[in-house]
Amino acid sequence: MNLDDELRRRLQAAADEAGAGVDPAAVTQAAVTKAAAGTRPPLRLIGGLGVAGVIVGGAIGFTALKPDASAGASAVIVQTQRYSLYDCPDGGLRGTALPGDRVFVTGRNETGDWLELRDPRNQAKRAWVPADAVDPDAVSDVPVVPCSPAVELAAGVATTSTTSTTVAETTTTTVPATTTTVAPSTVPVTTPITTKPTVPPTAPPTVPPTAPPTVPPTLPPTVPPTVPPTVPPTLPPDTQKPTLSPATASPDSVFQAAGCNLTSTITVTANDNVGVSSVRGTWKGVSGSPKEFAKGKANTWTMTFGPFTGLPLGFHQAIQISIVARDAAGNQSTAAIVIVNVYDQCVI
Amino acid sequence: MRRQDVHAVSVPPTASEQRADELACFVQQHSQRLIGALTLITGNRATAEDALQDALVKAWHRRDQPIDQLTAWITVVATNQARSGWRRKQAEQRAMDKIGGRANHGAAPASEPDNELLEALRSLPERERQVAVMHYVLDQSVAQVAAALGIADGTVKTQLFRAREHLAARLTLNADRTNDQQGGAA
Repeated sequence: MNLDDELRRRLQAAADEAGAGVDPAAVTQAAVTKAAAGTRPPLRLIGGLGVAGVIVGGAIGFTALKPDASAGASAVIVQTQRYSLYDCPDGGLRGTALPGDRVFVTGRNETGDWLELRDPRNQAKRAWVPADAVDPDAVSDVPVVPCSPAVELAAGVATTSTTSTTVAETTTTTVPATTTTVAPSTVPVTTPITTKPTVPPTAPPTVPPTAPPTVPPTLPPTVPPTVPPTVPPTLPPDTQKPTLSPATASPDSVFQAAGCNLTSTITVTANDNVGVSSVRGTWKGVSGSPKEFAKGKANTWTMTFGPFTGLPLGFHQAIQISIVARDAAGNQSTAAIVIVNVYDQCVI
Repeated sequence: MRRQDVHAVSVPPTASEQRADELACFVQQHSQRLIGALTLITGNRATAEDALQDALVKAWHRRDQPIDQLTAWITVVATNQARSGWRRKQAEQRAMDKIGGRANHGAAPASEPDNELLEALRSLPERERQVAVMHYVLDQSVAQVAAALGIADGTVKTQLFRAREHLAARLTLNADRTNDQQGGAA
């Protein structure tokens, strides 16, 4: 017997032992009960902090709120995986949440198998992810919301507040409030850690063992009638333009010939009260215009200008690059023009 | 007038009836092994049962949508649920340790007949443990595990290789490992 076979034998034996006594009828009954009761447990508990409270907003991935000695609690972040974001449940792909992103869950669909959240690339917009992708412990009992791709959130505008929860170690958790009013809650130190109820293996079967258990097709609606539908918030329109710092070009000259600088990096800093959605550079005289800037660290956006081919012999032109930043609401502003000299040959 | 033949017409089952039948069949055939596998992943029987129930509920809520390979789908969802639940339990335990309490982890396995194996499993990184259990216990191929977890075949092979190495290092095995040094499970 080789290693694989022995591992398979011992693991399967251990699994069979661990699963001994499972009553299929009891499993079915428990699932039916859960389906009838709805899908979202009312209380979420961040056990790592000893925090119990109602928190609007959660973490995508499997890192919720980790203890952080310096700040009391770290923010909600995407952990190790990247996730696709969708326009609507089962809708079109609209983006990606990357490791390190802060993501806030703002709602769910009626069946609870999709969650609505702020698009980490553009906090003013909403996106959806399958609920499977999100740690249920990191998400509070968020309201049911319809899929409204056109509705935008004015992140950071009159919606940010602080919610404190009294915890075992006087840890304060700060989360941005979203669509629900969050009342501070004080939880005694001795608050028991809640666990979801489970059906003990010895639960009496409700279906005769001889007959295959069936999930009754007459299950009630998946959303309890006590959960009121939530109307998307009416938020003030975003009329503030992004601001752009003077752009820089490094180096300020590029050449077609090998052995010299073939490209120049154009850098600009863009800020917006909601979020900059795009930065674009346009120019005339050489090819490649327009071109989108890529977002870098903080609010820095960069674009590589060049390389160029097909320039005529003796070509030299001071190319003026005009940079425009836009936010999700369509507001835009133009930075001062940056000039890059383009040559066909190295200048000595 | 020509007499028309009359045929019996069978009414096709509704989506709800079909999904109910599928789930019932799944539970009858696979629930014991799957709960056992999930218990190995999480180390907690109650968490495993909870995960399977949640997966069944999800499958039921999607009854209007066809699910290819329902068994594999439920297995993956339950496994992911179990991972989440396992993390929650760990967090709860840490929190309770801080305040000097003890978390109730639900029903413990009736017995631990292979403590050496369970200890070795617990020592594995979470992903390695999940891949190993899905492959060895649930008899899923590398390709199936990769598809289920949304990762590359090569990643699964790597995780399996590491899991085997770790388990072999910690277990008393009477195995001929000659073949396994060359690559391993397919």
